[in-house]
Amino acid sequence: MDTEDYLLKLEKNLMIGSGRWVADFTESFREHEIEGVTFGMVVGGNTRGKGFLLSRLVNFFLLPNYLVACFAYPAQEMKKKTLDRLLKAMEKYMEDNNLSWSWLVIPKEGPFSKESKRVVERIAQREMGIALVDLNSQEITTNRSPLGRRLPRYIRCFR
Amino acid sequence: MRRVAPLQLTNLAKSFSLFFFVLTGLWLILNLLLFGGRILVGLAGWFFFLVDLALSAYLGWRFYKSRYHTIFSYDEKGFELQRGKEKLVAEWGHFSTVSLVHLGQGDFAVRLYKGQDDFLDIPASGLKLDPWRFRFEAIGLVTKP
Repeated sequence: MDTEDYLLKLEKNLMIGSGRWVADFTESFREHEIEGVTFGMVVGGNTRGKGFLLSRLVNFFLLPNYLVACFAYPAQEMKKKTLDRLLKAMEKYMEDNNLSWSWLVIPKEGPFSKESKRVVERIAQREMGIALVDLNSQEITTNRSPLGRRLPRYIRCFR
Repeated sequence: MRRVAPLQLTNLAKSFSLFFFVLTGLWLILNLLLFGGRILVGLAGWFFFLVDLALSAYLGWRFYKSRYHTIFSYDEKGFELQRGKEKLVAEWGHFSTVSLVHLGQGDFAVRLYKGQDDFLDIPASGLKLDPWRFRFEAIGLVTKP
């Protein structure tokens, strides 16, 4: 699977697939530039789904209305410096748009270095879930925040 | 210039049903007033039912055409979007950003941004265009030098 195929599948999975269990992802931008960084895809939404009649009422009273986003950044290799730049851009975007949490998905057609995996695993920001996705072996490495640990089940869309 | 103007069956059915229920309701009230509530049977009953159907179909079609029917024509330079009686003409170059928006119930629109908050939606699903593919086409047209 190439990166473009994966991004399309991820986008569909977030907007009309299993991603809807987490948030109502409503709008998707491609090749979106934020703070000088061009993300391959940015999908935004909120945690309060729309629903119909009764489910709309239940959503309104029971679910928090957090604004959230999923960023995707296809990369050849993920160095610490690049990752820091991405996280900084995301933090600024989150602050400007009042986002409560966000995901960062980094797909690559091949394995990531051990160093990259170690760097990602060490990131402890609670409001961010970060995943390195090896499209060839379908291996996913995430950071250890609760958001990161939940991430694989929503981004595992290889078929 | 490419032109897309599919029949939107859901909206057509909605328009037809609206008039069918209103006319049937009116007919029941008239029936009560003129015939004391006796139900017309046989040929007369069928006649009024067929008139009701034909009238609902005609009015529903007119209503659909004036309110929902969407015609979208576009080429490399610009596009024309007509929904009901409202018509909009614009050039791709006037827009800066393109996004894909899920409007709910599987309906998608391709959103064209002029500035930060000024945007226009092209109802891709309503026009029976593949929204995922049309979005890339729109990005190509908007970013074309």
